[in-house]
Amino acid sequence: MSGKTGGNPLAVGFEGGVLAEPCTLVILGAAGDLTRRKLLPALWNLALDGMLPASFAVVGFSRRELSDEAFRASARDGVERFSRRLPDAGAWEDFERTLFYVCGSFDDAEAYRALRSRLEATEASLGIPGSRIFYLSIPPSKITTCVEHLRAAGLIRPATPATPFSRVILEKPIGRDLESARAINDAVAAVLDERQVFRIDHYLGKETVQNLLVMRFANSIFEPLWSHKYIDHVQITVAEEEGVGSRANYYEEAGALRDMMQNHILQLLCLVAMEPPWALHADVVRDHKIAVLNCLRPVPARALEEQVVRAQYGRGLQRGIEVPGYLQEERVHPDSTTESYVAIKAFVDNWRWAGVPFYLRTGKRLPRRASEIAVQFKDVPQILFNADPEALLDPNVLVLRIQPDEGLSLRIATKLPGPRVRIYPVKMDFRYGTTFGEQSPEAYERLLLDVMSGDATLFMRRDAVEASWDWVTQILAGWADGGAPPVAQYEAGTWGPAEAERLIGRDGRRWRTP
Amino acid sequence: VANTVTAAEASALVLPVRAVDVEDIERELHGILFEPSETAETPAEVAIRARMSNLLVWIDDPNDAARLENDVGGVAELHPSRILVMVGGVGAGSDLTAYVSAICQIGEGGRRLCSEHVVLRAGRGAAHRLPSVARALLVGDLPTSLWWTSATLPPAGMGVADELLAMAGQMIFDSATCSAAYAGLPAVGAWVASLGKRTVADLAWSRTEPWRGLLIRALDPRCAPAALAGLRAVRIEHGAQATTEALLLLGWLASRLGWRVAGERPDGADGADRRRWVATGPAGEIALEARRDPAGRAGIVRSHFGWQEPSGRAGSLDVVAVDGGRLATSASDGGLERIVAAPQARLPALVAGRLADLTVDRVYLEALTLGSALGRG
Repeated sequence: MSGKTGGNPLAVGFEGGVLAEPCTLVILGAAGDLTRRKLLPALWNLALDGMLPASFAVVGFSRRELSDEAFRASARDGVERFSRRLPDAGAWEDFERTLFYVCGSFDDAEAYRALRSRLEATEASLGIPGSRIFYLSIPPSKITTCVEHLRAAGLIRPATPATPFSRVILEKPIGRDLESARAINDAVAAVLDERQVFRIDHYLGKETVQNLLVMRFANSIFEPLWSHKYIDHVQITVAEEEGVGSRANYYEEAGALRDMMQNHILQLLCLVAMEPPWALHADVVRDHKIAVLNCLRPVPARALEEQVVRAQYGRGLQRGIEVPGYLQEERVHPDSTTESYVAIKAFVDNWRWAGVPFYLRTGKRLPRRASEIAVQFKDVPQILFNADPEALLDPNVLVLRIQPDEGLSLRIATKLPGPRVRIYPVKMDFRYGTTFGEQSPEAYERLLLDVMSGDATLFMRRDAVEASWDWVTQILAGWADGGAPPVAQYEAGTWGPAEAERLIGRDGRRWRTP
Repeated sequence: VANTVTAAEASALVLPVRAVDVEDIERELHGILFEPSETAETPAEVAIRARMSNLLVWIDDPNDAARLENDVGGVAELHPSRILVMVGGVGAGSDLTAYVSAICQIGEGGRRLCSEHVVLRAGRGAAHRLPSVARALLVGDLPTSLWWTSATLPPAGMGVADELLAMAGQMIFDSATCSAAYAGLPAVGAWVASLGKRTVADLAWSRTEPWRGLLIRALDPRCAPAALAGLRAVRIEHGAQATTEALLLLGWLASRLGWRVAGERPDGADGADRRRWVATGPAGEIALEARRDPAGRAGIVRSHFGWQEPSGRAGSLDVVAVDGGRLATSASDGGLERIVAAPQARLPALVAGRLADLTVDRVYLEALTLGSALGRG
């Protein structure tokens, strides 16, 4: 019997989707924005699709004093505002009956005992076998305390096939450098087996990110070209239109390198650069991803000027509206050197990618929101149609758009109609929305369902988190040493600083406009 | 049987239908989408042609053509395709008429996302010409599916059906419309077996999916530890046209749980509306029953599962369909009353769902085999 069917012979071959196991989802930090904006709308959509287990409950836990009714009202408000589907009378009442709330502080042992009592009563009344998922929607500094209290209160059980499961979901960022990430992971490992830990990066739940593996390994035309032999370079861009907004307290401590590069962008890099896994099992896929991180060429302090640019946005016009610079944002220190933009030239030092630069960039207050991976192929030889050195042909580019307007496009050269041979670049474009029409499920829907079914493929393993921090921490250390170039400036509403243009321009290349 | 979409519920925009010569279909389709029309006011009305599949739709009763019109539009909205609707038996003559249109969704910025829609209407003397027209209109490199809407299975040796099937990698049909009586399912089983390796999509099977999904979860050994191993009685109650759904659900349980159908009980048949069988499983005999309420609501309406735990204690689960696409469950211990969403897809969503899944459904084939054995008695 497959592990995914949990010993249930009826589940074998069921075409109706992932089968979630009966459980209670406990959200620690349930009064926060993530619960209202993402988690509860995701659960609501799963309920509407009949994807939740037959025996299921959600228990919110947070310091804010709320009754079950107030939690349910807050859930409804969140669903009305942020869900892709709105509440309807009958189904909503069925759903909200599964929502409960316990008030308590993360540091208070008594609160965890109260949580346990409430969980046991809820599980008994709803026929839930005691399997629990703890979603830690809390600051990284609280993770250690929280898992220790969960253990002390007997809320977490060891991972054995015979007993109900205990799983913990950790939100990024896991730490703020290698040392703190290790400390958190050590604390978690003292309580939980790695198989019980699900480190979530919502980027990995997006359809287009999942499609990366399908695109690479379900199409025979790409893989033979997927190496230094044919690829000139790769650009990965995660551009945000928004400024730091209400997240200044967090962002001042994090910056673009920690907030985006260490997790989202390096995960995308792994999916682009990994070798073909021999199976789609969680650990096989993750083994192949870690192999990429292990091959990332370190960026020592002496290489920072050559390979890394950090910058802050200044005042500027965003879609015609004047917006403040980073230093003028509320709750940002006027002398802050926190970067809102970072661009890196990275190398994956293995046989496949020898010498191929990966240009990575992310920033706030860029002209528009766009996440994409662009794979630029090498130029054709400078003979025949590419013989004019003054007017070289545009090379082929395969672009995987992650958001918005998910899809992929391929730029190819073609002949313009007419008696003369004139070459013109055209774009073959595939758009999810155009072809498939339907609204895709939100990333959190897929990811929560995966945790309920015990599938960790789309979650980060400890070694991957630490390997990516290892690489990033070296850059952070270089910046901290003071020898690195100062923080550059770029005007809000532009694609980044001139220094970033020079970083790629030195190689005779230029950033794409996503 | 079909949970169809009415004109008032249809949300797709259907561009004006043009009657065209058969040989001009391709050109006219292009024109309808890409040539400026007198009514187009802004560039935003520019159309995007979307094709995920070739969908051949066979309708042998002209009266059904009007009834299915909105459903075809609904399929196009969910699974944009080049759709060729072939209506046979339009009078006794040998006329073959063609109509082109496009079924569009309005996307972001007013963009029209359009499926090409061709209707071919043939008199009895012209039906044999339909496959050749369809063959010329298939778009290469796309999956081709045949949606057989007729109330009868394609008769053996029917040239048109054979030719259409030869073009299609997938056959979509509804065993419930082809088989109103319990005894009808074996004929479906034999016909499906004759199709060889072609992918088969039975809409009656798709309609059982919410029930199967719920039963998988409610009878899961982690929720009801002794239920599956100790099942002793299963009863399925259903509406007039859901005999095949009931048999497929019983066949699914039997195939998944390793039961052998021992045969019909001596008192098994109780008129046309009740049948009882005995199956044997690893833990003993299981009493199976299907009951039809000719006046009841459509589909499967109620099911009962009784089991015996190793301690000798009896357990049970009852599931009832309630309004709003929900199923209510209640267990014998009285502590587990629950209503869960189990949305029953409308006909367009059922068809679109099958179009998107081109894999061979072995679970269905096994359920059909054992369901057919039950139908034979």
